[in-house]
Amino acid sequence: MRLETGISVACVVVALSFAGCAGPTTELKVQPRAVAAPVAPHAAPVPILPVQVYVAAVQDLRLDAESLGQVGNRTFAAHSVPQWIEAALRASLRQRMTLAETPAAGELVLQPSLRKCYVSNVDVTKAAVVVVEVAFQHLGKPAGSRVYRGRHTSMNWWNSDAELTQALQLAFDDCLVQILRDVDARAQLIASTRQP
Amino acid sequence: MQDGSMLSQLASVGGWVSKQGAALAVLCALFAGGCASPNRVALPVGKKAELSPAVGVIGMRQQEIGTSINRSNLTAAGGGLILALIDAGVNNSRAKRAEGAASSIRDSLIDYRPADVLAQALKTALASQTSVTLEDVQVVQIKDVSTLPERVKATPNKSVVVLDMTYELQPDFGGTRVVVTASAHPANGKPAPSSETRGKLPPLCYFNVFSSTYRFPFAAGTKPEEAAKVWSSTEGRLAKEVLDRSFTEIAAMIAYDLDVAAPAENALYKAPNTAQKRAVEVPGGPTVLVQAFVEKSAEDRVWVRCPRGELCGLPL
Repeated sequence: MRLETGISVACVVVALSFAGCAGPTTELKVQPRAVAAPVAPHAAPVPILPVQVYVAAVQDLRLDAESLGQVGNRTFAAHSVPQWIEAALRASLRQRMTLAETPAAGELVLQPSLRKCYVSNVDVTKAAVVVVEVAFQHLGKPAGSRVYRGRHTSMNWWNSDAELTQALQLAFDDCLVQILRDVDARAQLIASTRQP
Repeated sequence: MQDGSMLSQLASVGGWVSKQGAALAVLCALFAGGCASPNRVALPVGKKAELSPAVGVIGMRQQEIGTSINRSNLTAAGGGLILALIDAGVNNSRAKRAEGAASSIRDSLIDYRPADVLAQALKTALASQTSVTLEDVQVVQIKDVSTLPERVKATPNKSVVVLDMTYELQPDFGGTRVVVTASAHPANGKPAPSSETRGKLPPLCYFNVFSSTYRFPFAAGTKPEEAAKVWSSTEGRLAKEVLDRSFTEIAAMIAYDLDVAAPAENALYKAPNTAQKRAVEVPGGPTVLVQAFVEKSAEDRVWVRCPRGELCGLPL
């Protein structure tokens, strides 16, 4: 009985000692990867759209270019987030259309801006959020802008680097899928205007 | 013999842990002792003018408005691992729902700059209510524990007023709560720094924690998703208006609090006999309700003082 009480007490001591700690900032690294807009099951293969798309460099509009926020007592950071988004966006678009080398050559021009990118927690749940705004040009004319919010929430089991990296990766994917769906619709519209 | 040896080893481990337990009890008593002293560090009377000229630093802990939940606490009723796991599952479900519902509000606040609103409100409040002039207010994203101390050390020739800010939706989405930790750090030893320290902050001559809670009169039983539609409609007009009011109130509370003297002999803040009492959540700490007393009231708002000195702005 005494031993059991003692072990519980030891656990509390360990928990207390960790509770006060906020260790050094951990850097998360996400691998940019291509995603595809979801298609209905048994749908016909999606054809490559005959549209030239130009993707401008991603502008970073965040207050701090590195900070990702805090989960529990751990602080996280990431370098080169705009470059990740740009690489993933280009890789994803290349599957569906042709990438133009210059803005002038692009029938559809995308100017993405990174608005938010963070990880956080609410009680036992971890959350990752990526918000990207894209301004469009159709055939050389401004065609509005739209904000895309990618997010992921799930149980925070260990508060580990791997868990947080995966959450951030899934939030990126969620954001990219929304952008792709919209770009796809816009590209189809441009392609249809060129039909005789 | 072997069994006996193991038993004696276990007994010895038990004895060791028991000693650690006694040490922990002492530690807890010390913690409790610490809790019986004020959290607030009052600015020495008559020294306010020495803060000028000052610069302000506002540290943002979040990139967007946060969410909160009412925590399931079945474990408290019966204890046990199963109930603890159920609690975790329920809390996870509530947090996911809150994060989902908050998306539309966050979208509507995408261009809203809360720190800029607070900075302007603080400049105005200090200029109109005190003799402290803020020359400049910087807004920084808090990256780690050293972010704010580094900013203070980077300005050795001027006093620095530091605000560490968080803001969130209440669990039912019926209101918002802003919490700001304010501290003042003297330049060249004027005013003389307090002997008390707070976390990793550099020597300070003033410290307190403030909260401002605003509620919107939603009908009883309004779901978070329905409330979110109201908060975010018309490009988040309601959310922006309520947050603006909170930041203005926090700034006014800070300006007011700079003039409030500390209780004698490091005592806790006690309610005058005539003061009304309110149960409030202590800002900046764990979710604990305390009996605070109404120190100031105006129109539809009251400012209540917690026993350890924190000041909370609440609806009447």
